Amino acid sequence: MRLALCAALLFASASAVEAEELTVKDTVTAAEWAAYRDRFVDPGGRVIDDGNGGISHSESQGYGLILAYAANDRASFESIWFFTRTQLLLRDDGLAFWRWDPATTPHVTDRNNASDGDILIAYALGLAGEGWAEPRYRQAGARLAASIGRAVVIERNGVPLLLPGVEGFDERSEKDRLILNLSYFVFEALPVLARLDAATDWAALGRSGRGLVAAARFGETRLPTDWIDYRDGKVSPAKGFDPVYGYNAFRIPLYLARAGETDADLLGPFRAAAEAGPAVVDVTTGKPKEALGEPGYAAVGAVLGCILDGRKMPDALESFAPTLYYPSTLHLLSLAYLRERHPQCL
Amino acid sequence: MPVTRRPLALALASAVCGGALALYLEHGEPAAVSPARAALGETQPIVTASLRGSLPPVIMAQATIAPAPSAANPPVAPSPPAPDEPAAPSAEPAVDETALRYFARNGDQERLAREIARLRALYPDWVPPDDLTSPAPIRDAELDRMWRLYGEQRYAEVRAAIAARQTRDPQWQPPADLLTRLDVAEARERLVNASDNQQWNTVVTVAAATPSLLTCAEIDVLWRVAEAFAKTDRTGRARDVYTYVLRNCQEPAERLATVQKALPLLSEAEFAGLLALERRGPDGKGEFEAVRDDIARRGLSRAATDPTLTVSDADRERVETLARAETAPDDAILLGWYFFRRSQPDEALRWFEIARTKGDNAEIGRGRALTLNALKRPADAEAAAAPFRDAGDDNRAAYLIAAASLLALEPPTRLAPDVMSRMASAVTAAKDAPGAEEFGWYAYRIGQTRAAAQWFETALGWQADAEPAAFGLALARQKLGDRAGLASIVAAWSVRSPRIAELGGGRAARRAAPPAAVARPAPDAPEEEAAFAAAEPPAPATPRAAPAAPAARGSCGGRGALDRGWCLLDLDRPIEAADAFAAAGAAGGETTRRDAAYGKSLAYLRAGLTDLAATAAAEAPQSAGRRSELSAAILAQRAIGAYNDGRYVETLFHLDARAEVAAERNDLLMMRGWSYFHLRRLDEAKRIFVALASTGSRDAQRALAAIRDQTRPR
Repeated sequence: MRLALCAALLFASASAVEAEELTVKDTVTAAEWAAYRDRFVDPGGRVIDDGNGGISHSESQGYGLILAYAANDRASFESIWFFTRTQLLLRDDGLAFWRWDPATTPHVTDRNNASDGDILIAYALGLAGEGWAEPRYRQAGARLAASIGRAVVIERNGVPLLLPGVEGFDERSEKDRLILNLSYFVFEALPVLARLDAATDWAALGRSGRGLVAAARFGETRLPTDWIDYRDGKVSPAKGFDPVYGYNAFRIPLYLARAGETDADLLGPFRAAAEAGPAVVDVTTGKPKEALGEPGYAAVGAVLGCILDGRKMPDALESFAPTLYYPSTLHLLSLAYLRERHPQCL
Repeated sequence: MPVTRRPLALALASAVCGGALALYLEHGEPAAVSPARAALGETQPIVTASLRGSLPPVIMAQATIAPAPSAANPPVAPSPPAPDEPAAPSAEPAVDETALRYFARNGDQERLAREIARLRALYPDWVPPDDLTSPAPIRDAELDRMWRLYGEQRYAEVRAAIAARQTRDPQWQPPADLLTRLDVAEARERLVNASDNQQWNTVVTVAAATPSLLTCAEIDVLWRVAEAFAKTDRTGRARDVYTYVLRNCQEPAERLATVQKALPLLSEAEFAGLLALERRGPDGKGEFEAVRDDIARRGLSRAATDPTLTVSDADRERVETLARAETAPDDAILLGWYFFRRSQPDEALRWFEIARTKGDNAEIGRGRALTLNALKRPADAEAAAAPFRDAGDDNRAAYLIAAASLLALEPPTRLAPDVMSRMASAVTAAKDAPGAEEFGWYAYRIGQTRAAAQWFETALGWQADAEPAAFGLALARQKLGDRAGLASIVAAWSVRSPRIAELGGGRAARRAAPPAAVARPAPDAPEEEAAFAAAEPPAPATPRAAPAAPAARGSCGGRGALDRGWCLLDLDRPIEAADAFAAAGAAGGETTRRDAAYGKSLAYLRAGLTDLAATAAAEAPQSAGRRSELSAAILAQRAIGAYNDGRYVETLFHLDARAEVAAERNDLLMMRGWSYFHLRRLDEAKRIFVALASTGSRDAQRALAAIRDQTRPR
């Protein structure tokens, strides 16, 4: 496994061509965004995860900001940003609390951060700061990116790694064991973060993340699990977590694709899983545990089909109608990507 | 309204100053805190109007806080303050009356009054328009909606509305006043939420970036900032904030609350500085009178934990007065602890008793127990602690202390069975090794050696490195004649404990040679153990009662009672054997009864139950040989027991009696010699040791050396 990872790292660094970044802006239509916003964003700027009891989190706020920017809706961006910074972005270390529950007082029910949420927010701020020439966003994004780099980007074996959160994932929990989540490496965000904050080698973090994706191929399906153990350079399905390619890991190929990845070998297992029908897959048996029926999940598969096989997206997926928050988000990000990079697939 | 900018310290030194609180953050603060400091120069005349109804507005000129200019050290705080630059003092101000009109139209009198005061302070020449109450034509419906949203604290929607309008009309600029207010409102939300989530550095950073929040009108914000300073070990800064409030803010309830909030967060000295700012009413009464009680209480409670602190008589008397007058026991309890920790247990007890008259509770029980214990009244202490012994760890500990003291009383007192029972169950439930050990010593001293051994063993089971318990166990086993048991303790401890090693290697182990090899005793003799019937020690290693005896130890079932008795005795289960012999004796004829009595006596001897052995021996006439054998064994055990208890005259008495029925063995001769030695009958001792030494006894030679040491002139 270790050899595999080293090889993967070499391969990743060799293949990590500086793909052209997405512009993102104007890749979500006004109608799509209105449908999403009306369903999931309240007037106070809170982005609601209706699949999780109506809570909000730094991830939902981050996706909301990115999609508002993609729809070029400054008003919505302002309200979502207001909620984000007054309710979540308050930690002493400059990161966001990750979980906010409307039903409890105080609303913050877990003061830990979630690194993907922080990265998504910083990414959105960076995009909006540049795309709308708004220094307030850029400054806030720069502060957040610097905090992320300080608090959750660590180096092991000479390789930068992203801790999923400040508390509970590093060796303090168990000696020699890190717990990682590869879906927290938002690859497309890293070049933007690099422009916001020079103190962290974000490109190296991206190479490291791609290497981990190439190494974390478990069982016959060769899929990564949502959570992986990292010990001395080796990866394995995380002890104490379901060994599944689940809701978390499901977005890894989408992030890779949006970051310009086209390598058939790296994306292959994900395409195979998508063709078998979107599902949570138990990597130890290779069998699906739970089908993922919402069109947003199928949209991710359509992105892979387009990139690797030049296939058009099925018509039914081309029109967006909100379902639940998470698959709806994946759906819009998939459509936005195809619109910008592969309009021929639409 | 030009106001000279001054550093906070200066500003606060001036009683007439009405400046907003400027937060000074020194360079070198933690990274998360922006290194900001008050810049010198002109004060921005943003103003905060006070307050409630009839009070005159208090104008808060504020010292602006600029981020440190160092680019290498940028502030981390999100959203640095972006209030509009103040207009140059000479410029003609354009008074924005939008908000004013909005509040007037909506009949929001409080906000209207504040806004008038605010504008007046901002523009001293400005006069409020007359037509405020008559609706002015709405010139800008969209802006009016923004103000409405602002008034409803729907700030996210105001932001959205501004952005939406600017997207449509890039030329349009929102009123600077609206933006400033939004920034402040947002900062307040961030500060309050950060404070609720204990993100103290964020609180300080936001406060430093938003000086307009730090005014009397935002007293809650000031309190939160002070708390954030105190919680991050900057109590001096916290004190500055409280001082600012007391120098500048007028609302009596808020002033009092400020002092109350400061009380638990500041040191004595820091707090004393705040009290100096107390104002007196026409009646001469200080405004902080209500808090003086709390201050006195705190002084007392701190002094109770730190004996180096002193409490003024006035403060102590204040609490004493309160304690007597109140229906609740709390202040009396406080006084109890204060005196207890100051080693005045009489006074402490008095206050705990007073407290008890106002409502007994676990803390009072604990206080009385510890105090009575300190007064060397452990029986009363145990009784005081007993009702609350299960009310938490502190009470459990207090009870165990009292119980241990009671058991350790010299000379040991006879304890009621219920007392013994609850002490034993408390010790057992808590697995309290010191308590078990104390039980061991108590049992040992009242001559219940087997129970003692079991308690010591229990203590060791709970705390394997308890040397005193091991020593007690060794003594008990020695006294019981359990040579194997003693040897195992000595083997385990001789390296760590010289006194245990001495027990094993010295005369003691060898001289104690009871007639029958006594194995681990099983303590359940009804009479001797009466005192412990209620205080059964938990069996540490072997089951105490016969029925639970493991099969591995062999079975003596399926025989007659007499045979079973001998069988059990062979298996070294003497108590069960005694029972079997008793059954045999009750049922059998003359011969059986004699044999049963003989067997029972031997069994009790082996169990170390000498008195019972003697009683059994007398139950039936025995042959001369058996009589002598039993008598010799019984007298030997009595001699050993007396010797172990240091009763040397008695030892010699038993030995003499034994010598009449049997020849004295060497080990008993050694004991006789040592008894003479301890009784300072050195000549007789020497004679015995010389005789024994001549047979090659090294013990006797060592004893002779001891005598030489004793007789050597010093």
